[in-house]
Amino acid sequence: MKLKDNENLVVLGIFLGVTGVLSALVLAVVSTLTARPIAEAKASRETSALKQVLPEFDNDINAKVCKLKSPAGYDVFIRQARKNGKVAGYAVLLTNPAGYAGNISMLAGVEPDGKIRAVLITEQHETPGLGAELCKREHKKTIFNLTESAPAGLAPNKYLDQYAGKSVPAGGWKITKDGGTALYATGATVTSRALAQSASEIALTFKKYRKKIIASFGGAK
Amino acid sequence: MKNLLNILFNGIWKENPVLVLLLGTCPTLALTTGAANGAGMGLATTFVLVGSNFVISCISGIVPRKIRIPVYIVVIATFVTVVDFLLQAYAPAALYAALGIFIPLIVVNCIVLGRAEAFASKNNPLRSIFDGLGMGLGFTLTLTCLGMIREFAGSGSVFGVKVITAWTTDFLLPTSAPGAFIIVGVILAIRNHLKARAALKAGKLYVPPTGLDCRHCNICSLQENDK
Repeated sequence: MKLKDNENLVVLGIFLGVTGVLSALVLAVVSTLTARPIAEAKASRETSALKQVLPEFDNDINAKVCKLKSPAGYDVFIRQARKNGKVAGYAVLLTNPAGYAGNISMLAGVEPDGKIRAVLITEQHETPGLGAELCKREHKKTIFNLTESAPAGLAPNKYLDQYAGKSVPAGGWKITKDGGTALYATGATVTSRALAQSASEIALTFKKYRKKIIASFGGAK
Repeated sequence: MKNLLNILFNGIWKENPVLVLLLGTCPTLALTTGAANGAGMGLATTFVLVGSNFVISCISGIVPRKIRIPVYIVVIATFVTVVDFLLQAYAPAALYAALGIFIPLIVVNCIVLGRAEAFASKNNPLRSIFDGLGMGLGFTLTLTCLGMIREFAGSGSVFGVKVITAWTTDFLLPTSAPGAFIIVGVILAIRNHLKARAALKAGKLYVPPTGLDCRHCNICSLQENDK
């Protein structure tokens, strides 16, 4: 009897098993071959985000990560950047679940004095065109500047830039709709609130735990 | 050679997977928010289609009829995982961020299994490769065009380049799911209208090409034969 018309359960089982093993072999080979490029791509994505929010640094920034709880109870991950041995700044990552569609991860570069230097959103699932616009930093390309290369540095975003270089008020930043000073976008109130809260939590954590943070990286030198 | 080209253009226009076969509607609606996303998804699917069509037409002679669907799915899933690995390793970060979660879904894309069952299992490897290429390119072109239409209607840009610079506030309907349904529906209506009018002019009644309804699939008839 031909294999094609075989209906013996054992034969069918063995055939499926062999198919599975063959496919697992193929995947094992491809997985081994691509493991390094995948790790490199991931690392370069992370480092490029860090480089965007921090001033120039030359230390191994991922060598030590300090984990703290912000005043409102969010996990905050802090990395220290050094240039020629001197503290250049801190990179602070906070993931806020209060976005309109789940987590918004904010990466902020913080000056040694605790002021926010630059803010970048590394993960968000907000509504395209509304909330997502508040989190985006991209140089807009038009048919008029198509051939020009994009200007260096972070693209401006007034909703994210408003937290940079200011000292944080005692209760954190609030959007104007809630009686605060921070700019918000109509139609994306929830996103605006989450952004204001994330920035506040980062700044307040630094205000509250500054000594602890400096000590955990081996003191200020 | 002429025959092979026929198979190729069959997939691109005459039996276009999205506009005629109406397969793979999930990625069509979910991923065409921009032209670049549509093109990326289309190319990834094309790679899977060509690979799975080739392998399946090679092994179709020995696969027992009773378990052919699970075997085909394993082949397809293997190709999709390979694509996923490759994209993670070598695709630009922005493209992977946009497509990443949809890549595993190519496994359940009806176009891939549909072509395996309806074409690759009955034709030789060379013809199957051309069918995969044609269907994949048809899918890619349709997704790219749809993405361009939606992106332009939503924000006045094409491939991320603003064409109308005065357009500052995005229009949300075309880039959201309901807008996708409406736009795809309008395109289908226009295509059917043109076909029906052409048939009418030739003095005939418009009949969809044979093999485009469910009759080409023999899962049901197999069960009848069993009785």
